[in-house]
Amino acid sequence: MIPTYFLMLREGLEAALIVGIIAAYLARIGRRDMLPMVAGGVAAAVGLSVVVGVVVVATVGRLPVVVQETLEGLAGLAAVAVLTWMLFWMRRQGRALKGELEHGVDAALGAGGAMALVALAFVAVAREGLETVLFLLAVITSAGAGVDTLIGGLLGLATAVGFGLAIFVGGARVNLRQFFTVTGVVLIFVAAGLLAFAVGALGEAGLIVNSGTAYNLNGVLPDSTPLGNILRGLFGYRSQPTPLEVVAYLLYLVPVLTLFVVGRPSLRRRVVATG
Amino acid sequence: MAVVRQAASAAGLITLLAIGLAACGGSTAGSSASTAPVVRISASEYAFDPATVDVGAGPVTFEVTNAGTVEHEFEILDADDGVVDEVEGLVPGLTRDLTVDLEPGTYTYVCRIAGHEAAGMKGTLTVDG
Repeated sequence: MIPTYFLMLREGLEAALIVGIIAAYLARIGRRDMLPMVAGGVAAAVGLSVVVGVVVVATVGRLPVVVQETLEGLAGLAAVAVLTWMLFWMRRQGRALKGELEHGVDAALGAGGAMALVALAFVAVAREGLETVLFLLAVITSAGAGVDTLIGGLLGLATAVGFGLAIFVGGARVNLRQFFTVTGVVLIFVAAGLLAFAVGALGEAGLIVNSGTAYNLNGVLPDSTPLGNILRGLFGYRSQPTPLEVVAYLLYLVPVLTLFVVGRPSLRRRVVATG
Repeated sequence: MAVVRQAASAAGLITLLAIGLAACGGSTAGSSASTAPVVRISASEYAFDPATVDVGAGPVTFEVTNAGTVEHEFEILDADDGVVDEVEGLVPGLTRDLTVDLEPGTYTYVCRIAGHEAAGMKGTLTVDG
């Protein structure tokens, strides 16, 4: 029960975090009318995962590693792309805010922004959805795995959903500028982890060479422990990553975080101040 | 509404793609699974039982059961440590099947969960021509 709980929690946390932030963001800028569309994106991803999962099990039983890892790798790259776009789009909106005058951004959420938020909710859920459905179907059909295994898995997913709801509720209470900054920084770590994950998946698919060990923290914090699982689910933490995964993580994290925290607008302010 | 429509059509497209992929795989994997010999492997802390497997070339079905108390994986690697195929998410008590078409050669099977391979979860798979 416990191992299944943490497995499903790990699979669900990241999607819950992303969808929770999107929903909290929309609520904060006074666009609660968009929430049903985001929910629709999530529902479409869940529905698609269930349909494809059932079809796969009924026909071939399972996906060959090349297909599964290629899909996961490409979905990871797609998620990084949309997430990065959203980060800087949210940041522009954040800069436009004057203190707590949140209504200033009402008009800014055009069709493109709405589309991207719905697409991100869809990709975030669909990315882990198929693997989750295939796993749960295996648990249901396996004689050796008892009901407690299934219950553990469902509780893990429920915890992840609860985490997403907590972000949605909590996001409505913090200062809006803090909300933009904190969620932005958190999402940059998430995206860096996603990129490293995509490298790992494409490596397992045999599409790129991704071997070796950059460092080994299995003796300190294995990613199989409860805390390791949570960090892995949210930020792509691995206790024994390959050099390429570390490079991908840092190549994303350092420049994007730098741009996000000390990017152009503050530069512009400095120019104005000295000029 | 346009957004919902576009999301729906994208979802439809991905469904078709996935069903197509599944259908392509079905012609080979489906037929081979019915005739493939079955090798039962038990995973626990921290060993595979048996630790050496000898099979003939062609399709083989591995029935991997987690007889331990923590999560495990079963990954078949070729001589260059490339992943041939794998079963992930093996929680205690769970059995998952893996049918692979193997060419003659020497392979290893490992558990890639943090520290498990180093602790002894490693086996040798010999495929005779």
